[in-house]
Amino acid sequence: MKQTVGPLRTFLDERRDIMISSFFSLASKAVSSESQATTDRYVAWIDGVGAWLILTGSSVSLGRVNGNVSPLIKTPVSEPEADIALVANLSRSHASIQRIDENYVLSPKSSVQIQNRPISYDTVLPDSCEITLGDSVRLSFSIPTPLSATAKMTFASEHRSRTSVDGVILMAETCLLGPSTSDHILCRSWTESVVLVQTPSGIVAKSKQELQIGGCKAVASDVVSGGQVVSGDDFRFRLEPLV
Amino acid sequence: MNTTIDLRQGPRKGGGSMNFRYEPESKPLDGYTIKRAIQRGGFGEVYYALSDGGKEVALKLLQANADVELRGIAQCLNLKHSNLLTIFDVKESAAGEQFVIMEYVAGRTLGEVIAEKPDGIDLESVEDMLNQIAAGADYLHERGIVHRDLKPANIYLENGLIKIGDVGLAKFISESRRSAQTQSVGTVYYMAPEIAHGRYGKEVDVYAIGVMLYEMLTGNVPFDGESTGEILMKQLSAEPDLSTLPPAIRPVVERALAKDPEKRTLSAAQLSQEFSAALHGTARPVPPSIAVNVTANYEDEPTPGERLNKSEDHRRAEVYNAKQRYWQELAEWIQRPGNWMIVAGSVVLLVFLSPIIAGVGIPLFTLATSLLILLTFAAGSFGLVRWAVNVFSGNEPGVRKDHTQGVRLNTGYVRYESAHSERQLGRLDRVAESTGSMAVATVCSAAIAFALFATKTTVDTPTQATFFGIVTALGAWAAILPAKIWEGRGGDGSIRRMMTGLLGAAVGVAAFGVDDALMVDLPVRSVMDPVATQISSHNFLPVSLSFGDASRLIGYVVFFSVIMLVRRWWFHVDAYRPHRIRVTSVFWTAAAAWLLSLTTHFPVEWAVLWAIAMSTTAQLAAVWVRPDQRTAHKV
Repeated sequence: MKQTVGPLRTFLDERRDIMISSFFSLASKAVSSESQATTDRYVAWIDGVGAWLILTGSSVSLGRVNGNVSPLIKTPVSEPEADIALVANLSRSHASIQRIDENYVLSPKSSVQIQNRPISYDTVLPDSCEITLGDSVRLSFSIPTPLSATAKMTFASEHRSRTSVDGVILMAETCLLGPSTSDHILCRSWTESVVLVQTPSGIVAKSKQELQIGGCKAVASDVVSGGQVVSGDDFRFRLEPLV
Repeated sequence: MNTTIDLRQGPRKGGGSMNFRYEPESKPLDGYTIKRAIQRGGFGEVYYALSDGGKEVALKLLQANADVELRGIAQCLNLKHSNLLTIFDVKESAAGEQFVIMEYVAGRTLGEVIAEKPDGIDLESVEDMLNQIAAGADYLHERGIVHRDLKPANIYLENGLIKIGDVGLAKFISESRRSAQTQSVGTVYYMAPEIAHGRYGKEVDVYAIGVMLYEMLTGNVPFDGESTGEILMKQLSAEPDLSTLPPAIRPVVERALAKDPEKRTLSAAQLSQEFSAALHGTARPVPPSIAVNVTANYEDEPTPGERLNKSEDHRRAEVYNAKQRYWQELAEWIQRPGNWMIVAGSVVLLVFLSPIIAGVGIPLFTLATSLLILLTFAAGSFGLVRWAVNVFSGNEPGVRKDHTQGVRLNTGYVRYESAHSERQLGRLDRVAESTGSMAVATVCSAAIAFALFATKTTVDTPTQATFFGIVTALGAWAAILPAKIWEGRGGDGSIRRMMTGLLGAAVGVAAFGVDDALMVDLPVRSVMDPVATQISSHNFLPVSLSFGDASRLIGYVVFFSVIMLVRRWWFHVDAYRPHRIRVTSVFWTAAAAWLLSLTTHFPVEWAVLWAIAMSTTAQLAAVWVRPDQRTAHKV
């Protein structure tokens, strides 16, 4: 997996890349029309745990932050920012990641390495790997549980988004928050897990514990993606939608 | 001291309840939006918040003893240091609550870094972090502020930069502990023993840094226990287990963890300096004359015509310099007081012993030996007293102590002392210590010889025992005498080896003489038969020797000179050697003797026994100063 061993190995690796990319470029064209729906971005602010960027949708872009975005600027820049915008020496649109069924395909638009091997074609990400963007941005990519296609990325280098988050969740149908290492967001002090589920009306939260949403006792179908504060006996968090 | 502390509650874990006062998106302070709670400390809740302009900050809500804490913060509000967490401001909310607005650090705490490496962090990273922690702590101490609550959970690491948190808040820890049940056990591990007596000097911080240093190196705290009381009791009385630390670092950590604040490392900066010095070994400074010489060489500006060949000239100059330096060093070494005495001494010894070689007979030999021993005792009686004082108190001689305390007071810069470190030692001390040690060596050799004879180990007759004892004593002297002259002076190891080798040759000659006089007739023979033939036939020695005698002489000389040459005897007997007696030193000396006896015609048992006896005697007799008693000196 690491460095190439010889010219033959390089050659074979390149062949494999091309085969995979050609296969997936076909496949992605087929899928893109239906699931290229909007990618919604949320920040999960979790008391005593941290902050995570949660991205729904099957395709996300990675790149550099826009220089002039500030809450105080009255007229926002027209140029859109990447879904995962990092304060780093990257292109505006450096790469993108697409989820196709259970797999994640990385499409480089600038210098990208997987496990220290430069890639120039669409490449399927292994279940656990390190992605290097540009010279120094390193991201740890993993799929914490085989029960869900949701992936998480954490920062292996010291780069961050504009405001600090601990990592990024590429959310498929569900996202688990809880005390187990197979949960997508590890919340050590919690006693119970909370599952976030994507529904047509928005994200809903489920738990064995009784949940309160916005200070009121929750009903199963209550949406939490509108910025409501969700709390249980020993936890509290809020999903803040980003524009 | 209040001990109602919840042990199960870690410093960063929220525990069972998560009832932070402010929920996400609240705005208790004008201009700031709380996004999430970070943790609950002993002083209140800490929140992550964004200012209206988008700046991330940490908001600390003061809950208990707000007034007391505000006074502490007021003192630290305008401190600026790259290793301290910046306090931006203190503000009161509309509801009358006090908030401290601080720099937000996204990185991990030192506690998390340590938890990731249960077997300890690598030495380079430890050194780097220790330097930064010490720099921050020293900055506070210089401003008269004691942190009082340094612990891994309070120290953050972001982009390789250490940030010490809770500055100013920690000052009133004793007051706040009475009311705050959430105080974590984390603090107890880092609590200096004198806190029990209500003493909060900067030594408390040095101790806490010492505990963290130990924890960074090993992954564990030095004093652990089931309960707060047990841990506190260990802080007061138990000695830390230093065996898992690298040997060079042990005395550094030991001093930082000294129970008595008076004996503890003086400052945080000193701790980090001592650690670095121990880690890299003590660098020996270049003698000034050579340094000047090198600069002079490079300062010679080439004329325009020469400039083209400048690099070639440089190369030549370097080669020339290297050659020059060696001879210069040798010349300097000989010129240094004391060194020429060794050269002269070995020559005199050779000449002095030549009559013995001539086989003048036992009476004269006995007289000479007795005279030598008597002289040693006479000169050594003064030294012996000092030696005894040093040995039994484990203390250093008074002269040294006075001298170095001056250095300590003036500068405060000290480093870990080893046998290689240069230091001051009075001429009188050298004489006293060497003669004293030599006298002890004589007694010790006699004891060993007697023990061997009593157990009939190889040494079977009283004559053999006498022979064994005398030669052992001479060997130990040959190790101690030059070492005492060299002690504390920088010098080239290879030259020292050559000199002790030469002294070893003298011991060999003496051994031959004693052998001959006592008629022990050890089956020693030289492998260099042609040389023996030359000696016996040409007769250029003051006495004529038969072929067999010449062969034996060479055998003794070769054995003792090689055994003195291959080992670093001056290091083994230096007052600042790591341990009083190192069994490995004895072992390797014996191993060398064994190898040597295989390649030469020297009886194996005698070779090994002599090596063991000489090494043991020399180490036992030589003055040794306990590491923590060693003198500090200016770097």
